[in-house]
Amino acid sequence: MTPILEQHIVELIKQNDQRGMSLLYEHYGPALYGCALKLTKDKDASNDILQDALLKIWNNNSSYNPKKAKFFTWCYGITRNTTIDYLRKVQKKQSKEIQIKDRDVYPIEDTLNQDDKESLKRQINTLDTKYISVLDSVFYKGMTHMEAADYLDIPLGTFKTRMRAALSELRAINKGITVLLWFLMTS
Amino acid sequence: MKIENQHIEEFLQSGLLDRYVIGDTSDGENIEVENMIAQHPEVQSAYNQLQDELYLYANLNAVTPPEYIKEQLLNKVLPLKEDESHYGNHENWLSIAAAIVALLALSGLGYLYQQNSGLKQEIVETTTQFENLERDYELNDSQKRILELRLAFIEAGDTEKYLMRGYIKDEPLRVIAYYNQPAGKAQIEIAALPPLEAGQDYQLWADVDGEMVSLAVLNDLKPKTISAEILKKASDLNITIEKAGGSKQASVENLVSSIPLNTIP
Repeated sequence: MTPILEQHIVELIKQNDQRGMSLLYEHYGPALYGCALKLTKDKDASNDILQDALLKIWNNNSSYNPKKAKFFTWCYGITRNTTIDYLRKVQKKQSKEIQIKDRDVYPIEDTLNQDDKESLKRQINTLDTKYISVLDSVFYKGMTHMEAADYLDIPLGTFKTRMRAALSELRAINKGITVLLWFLMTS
Repeated sequence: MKIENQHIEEFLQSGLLDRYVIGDTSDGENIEVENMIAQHPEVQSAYNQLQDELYLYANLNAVTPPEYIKEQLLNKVLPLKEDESHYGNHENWLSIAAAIVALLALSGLGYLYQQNSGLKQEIVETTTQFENLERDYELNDSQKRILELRLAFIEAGDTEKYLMRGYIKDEPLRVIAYYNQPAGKAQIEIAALPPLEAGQDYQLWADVDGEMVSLAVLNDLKPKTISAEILKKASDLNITIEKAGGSKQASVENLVSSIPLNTIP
């Protein structure tokens, strides 16, 4: 998203303008919903989490500081923490200790159907699975490099090498998307 | 300085910044990370890059949520409607009937007026939305064109590239000059500019027949256009440390980087 559009959304939300919510949903909704789905693997729960998170963003907009983070980063943090809170509640309810270290994600029942999984796979099929696992461990599961290396059962050095390569792949995909957009816009 | 660089490297390797970017750090850790970002441009740069990578990766994993969620959200953020007015009793049925007739007539008029106002408001809102989108598109389009022009210039076969390197107190200085003689264009991109003491700036000079001619004062990371006419006659490019805002004459004793040009036939 361009900084101008991002700024426009932030201004609309600050003015309690309903269009702010509409633009927020259109531009960030799918990525934030993807975050909730990735962590919960539960569509119904993710529907509630997305609603909660977007309302938190709307109601707490005065605490957003553009000097500290980009707007998407701030929205992502709120959504991820809302998801983690949900998972903790479920975990507490079920009393299942499937905890990774003392601060992380608790896998629960996978309710995504095959179509959903295929759709997810198509979107990220340009990335090698070993890169997806290192990116997931950092961007979604919030592990330190040491914890992630331990979790993935690979040496720390290998993890760091894979992380660098994964980020490099990500940048290459970004360039590809930019070129594709440019081609579509000019054709 | 080496110890400081090692400290920065250890911090970047620790994974704390990765956890900060996804909002997974404690208040104490937040303070530590924010201090590192404020004090070290390398950390700031790594943080910005991580934010872009997070945005990209989250979008690769994006899934369209059900449409009803949007409707529910928009209903929840709608302003509350005002309560309808209440009317008191009248003394006799004639006045009640008259009031009802008047009320019905007024309601009818009010309804039509409200419908009309609502439609007008919708037209205004739709027009504003359209204008905003049009403005965003134009801005994006012009930014894209500027970037395409810059990229085309940098990648052109006859554009020469000069990488100027230097070190200021162990911190790297990287300035890249692009010069396209046939097109008569030249510009510089500044990749790294170590901080200087207060009251000092870097200044870029061209050596023309032994005389240093000022090309630009370098005090931020923005790309700059420089004179191709001067470069045409120059034998080399030099960067010196000067007083803030630049000097008329180069302080050669403060030279931090120099590169010969292959423009002289």
